[in-house]
Amino acid sequence: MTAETVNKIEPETAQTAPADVPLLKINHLTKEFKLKTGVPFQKPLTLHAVTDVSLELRAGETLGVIGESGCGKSTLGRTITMLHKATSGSVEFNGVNIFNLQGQDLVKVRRDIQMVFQDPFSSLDPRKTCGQLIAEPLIVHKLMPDQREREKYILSLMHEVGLDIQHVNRYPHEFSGGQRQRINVARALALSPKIIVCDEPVSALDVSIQAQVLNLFNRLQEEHHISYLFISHDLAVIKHVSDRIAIMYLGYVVELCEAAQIYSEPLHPYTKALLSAIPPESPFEKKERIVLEGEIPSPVGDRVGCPLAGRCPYCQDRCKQEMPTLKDHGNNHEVACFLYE
Amino acid sequence: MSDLQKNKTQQASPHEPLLSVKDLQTHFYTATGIAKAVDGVSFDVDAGKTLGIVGESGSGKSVTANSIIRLLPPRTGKIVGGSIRFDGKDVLAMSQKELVSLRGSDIAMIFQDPMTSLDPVFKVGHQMVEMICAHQDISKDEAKKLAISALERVGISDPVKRMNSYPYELSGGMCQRVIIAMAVCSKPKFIIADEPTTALDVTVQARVLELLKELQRDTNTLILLITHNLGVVWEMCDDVMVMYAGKTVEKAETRELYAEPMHPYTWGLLDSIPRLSDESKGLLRTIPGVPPDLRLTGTCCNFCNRCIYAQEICHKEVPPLIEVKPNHFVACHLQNGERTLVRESGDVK
Amino acid sequence: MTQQTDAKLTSVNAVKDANDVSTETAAILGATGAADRLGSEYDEELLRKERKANSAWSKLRRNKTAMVGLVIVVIMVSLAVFAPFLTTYDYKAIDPIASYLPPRIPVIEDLGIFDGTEIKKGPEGTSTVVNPYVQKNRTDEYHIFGTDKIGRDLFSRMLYGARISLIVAFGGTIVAGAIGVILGLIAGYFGGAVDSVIMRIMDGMLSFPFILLAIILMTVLGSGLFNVILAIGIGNVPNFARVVRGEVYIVKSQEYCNAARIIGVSNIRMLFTHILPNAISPLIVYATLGIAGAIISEAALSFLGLGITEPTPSWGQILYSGKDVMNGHPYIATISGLFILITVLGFNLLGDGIRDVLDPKMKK
Repeated sequence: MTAETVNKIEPETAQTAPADVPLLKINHLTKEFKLKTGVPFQKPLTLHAVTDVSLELRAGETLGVIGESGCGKSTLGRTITMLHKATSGSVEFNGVNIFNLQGQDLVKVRRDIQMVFQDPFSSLDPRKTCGQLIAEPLIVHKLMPDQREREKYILSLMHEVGLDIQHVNRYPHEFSGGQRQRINVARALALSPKIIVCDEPVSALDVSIQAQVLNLFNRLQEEHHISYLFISHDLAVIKHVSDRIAIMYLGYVVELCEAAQIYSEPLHPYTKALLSAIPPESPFEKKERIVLEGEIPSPVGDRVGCPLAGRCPYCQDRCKQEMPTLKDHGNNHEVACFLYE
Repeated sequence: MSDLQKNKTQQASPHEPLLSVKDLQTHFYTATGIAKAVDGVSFDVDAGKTLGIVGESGSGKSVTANSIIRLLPPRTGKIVGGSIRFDGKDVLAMSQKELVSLRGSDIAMIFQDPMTSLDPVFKVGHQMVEMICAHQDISKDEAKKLAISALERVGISDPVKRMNSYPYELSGGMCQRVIIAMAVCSKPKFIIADEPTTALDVTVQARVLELLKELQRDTNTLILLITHNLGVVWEMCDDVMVMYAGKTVEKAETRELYAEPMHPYTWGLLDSIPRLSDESKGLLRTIPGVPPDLRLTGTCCNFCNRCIYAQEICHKEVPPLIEVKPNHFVACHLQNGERTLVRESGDVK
Repeated sequence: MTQQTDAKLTSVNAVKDANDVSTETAAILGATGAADRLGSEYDEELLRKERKANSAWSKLRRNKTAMVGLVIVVIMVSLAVFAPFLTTYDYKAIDPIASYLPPRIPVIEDLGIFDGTEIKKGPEGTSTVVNPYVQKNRTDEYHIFGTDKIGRDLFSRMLYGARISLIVAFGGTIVAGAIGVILGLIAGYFGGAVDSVIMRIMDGMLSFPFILLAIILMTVLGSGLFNVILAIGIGNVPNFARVVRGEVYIVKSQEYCNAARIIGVSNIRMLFTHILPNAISPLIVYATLGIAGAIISEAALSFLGLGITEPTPSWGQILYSGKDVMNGHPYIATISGLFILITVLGFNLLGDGIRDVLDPKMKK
């Protein structure tokens, strides 16, 4: 019920179209999950995973999405890649709503939007060799029917992502986490996608390996002009890879800004709290903590007002009644908070 | 039993640190060879201090901690050398019975996944009361009161209600706080925190770390903090030990290590983390390659094949851990003078 | 083969351009290929050792009970396969005079056991030792398991019966497996209404006692080898379907299936290249145990007179024929019962062993 009312508020804030047409345009995307209560004849509860998210991803750009667990960032990525069916809203790729596509058109769009998963251990089929895994997208899309050409291409992909070509016949469990993530990247890269959704791709890796993979992402972007939707909970990583950053809290995007701005001038109280919670960068640094009261509220059930209202030190009466919308605060810095209105 | 009493009466001498580990060697016997998971690690920690152990997965940091409380997988894992003294007692000579009482009362453990430390079929309160009653001679009602006040202390709202919750009803951060609350109740002398905040969100992590610090201040606890997150080390630790492939590569006071790291691996570790204050989109400095197979280590410097400063000697001899400055130990063949030289030149890699 | 890869390696190296980051890649390539083994995360030699040590077969070989089971199964199967070479009597040859000859084994008979004598009970509790071979004038014959009511050699019948019993067991399991796997895959993968319909039918079938279901099927289909296989197969379908469905549910929620979906893999390809290969382990375990069950089922059906009909021998049928003469000639039921027992035990041990190897979750 509430989700609908929130939906009705939103269309007024249609953003001014940027000069260049965005590659991917997410319009008022909402994803709700129905939870069965287990009690017969009782209405299922609604989990609001992503609520009314509107974002744009430009060609060759990295859009970082950050938030704590349960904020809906992964669900956002999975809805865009059509692993989940959106409850409402649309995603336009090159001006076409991909949720309406069927048959061959859908298959074509799938080629352009690829994904790299968080867990390098479970995201590769354990019974396929490295070569078979990278070959699969090519076989599925019937690209490169010639086997020798395909093999050559696979090896060049392996080389490109920094895998030893001699390991083409190894199974995933014979690689380390970092190497497996490289296989994942090679697999995504095989279809020459325009967009790669990276769902916490370095969270499971050790720092030295993490740096290698982040550099790889950066290099591939420069060489192939790929756009990334980069999802992570690590603010330093997000800031390092992104051009722009969206901060999510409980399914809402609460702030959207240039990467540098998030550190220099965070606006939303939640962003400020998040920044202050990050461990120091040196033992000499002393941090002032902004503590948010209580726990993150449950995303299940109906809700009214700003999701942060119960924990925010600046909470006003208005915050408990209605949800602020994302508004430009100058310098392409958008924030959803009544403090700045 | 007489041993136990003897141990208890025997007081730690004034100069003896609370925890002293000497040349610890823990090996794992696998079907395809012996993995030297911990290969000669030594450190001393005093009460009220925090020692951080940093390293990548497989560096032996968790195995070191588990060796101290002798929680190794039976049959495959074995402590093959060295000594561990805690509170004046030889841990390696203890019987199973003594170990159990040691783990419950004097030593508390906090693991990465809080769910594994709580039994999913019992209510939180029940588990806490049971734990308190097992190690302290008080009635159930008193234990309950103690548990509630402990939960209150770790910042859990409505502790009476939470006592009646099952672990799955709590979030990861809350579970971790319940475990810390249990530790608060038993007033341990020594807390082993193995990646205590890795599974938690940053805002929750900040709160959990704050709690640990508070607990340490109040009861003069020794904390052994194992983590891969250097930020956590900067915030929490008095001393740091950097481990790589089962060996200590560098050991120093935290500020000293940050200001003047000496081992090439430490340099790589410090440089490969993206920083919030840096410009974005640049290339990060990386450590090329991957850690070695632990079944093959021990004949040369374990880091030599990933080290850009490696010389001939690095491929032939294991570097000893040398105290190059007071309280700053490094295991590297680079000489002091060379070190500053290559470090500066290495920056423009 | 290696030369080919080397050739590819150089060609790719030639393609690679010298931008600064590829030094990092080069470092990795160099490290893994280096003669010094330290830097490589997986040393080739260790990897080979590890592959060998972790292969299902070598794990199975280290499992003692599984090996006992395997030996039993291999012996039983070879007895069945080589029956013509191992037997001297025709299993169908009737010799009414030589009925109920007790076991007589050459060489061992000198020890005083299996010498063709049996104890005959007299009218007033007295008992006398008699030798039917002498009585029936068959002193130069050796029936090592004895003969049945109409004088057929029991050893031949047991060995040829092993053929029938094992064919029925394997055939029944294959039929059950084939139908069960397909139903389970469909139910588990598509879920929803399809799942409900299929699984409710399976539940319906499971609510009958298996033997009742098989009896009904046999009465409808009529007796005969093929029909026994079919009856046992269909009776076992629900079990296979349930095992497969459960496993498919687990596998399809794995991240690699999501990854495949994003790549654009079709349902059919997903089912047969990703889900089935990853769901096969518990299936193999279940099938091995299922064979043991099918042997018992065949025996039960034949014992009830619904399975294999004379003169074709099967273990259950021999057991049935020995039931009535347990008092006078216990060896018939004993021998056939022991064969069933040992074979079932063998398959069970093997199945448990395979489970330990393939399915580490099931270990205590």
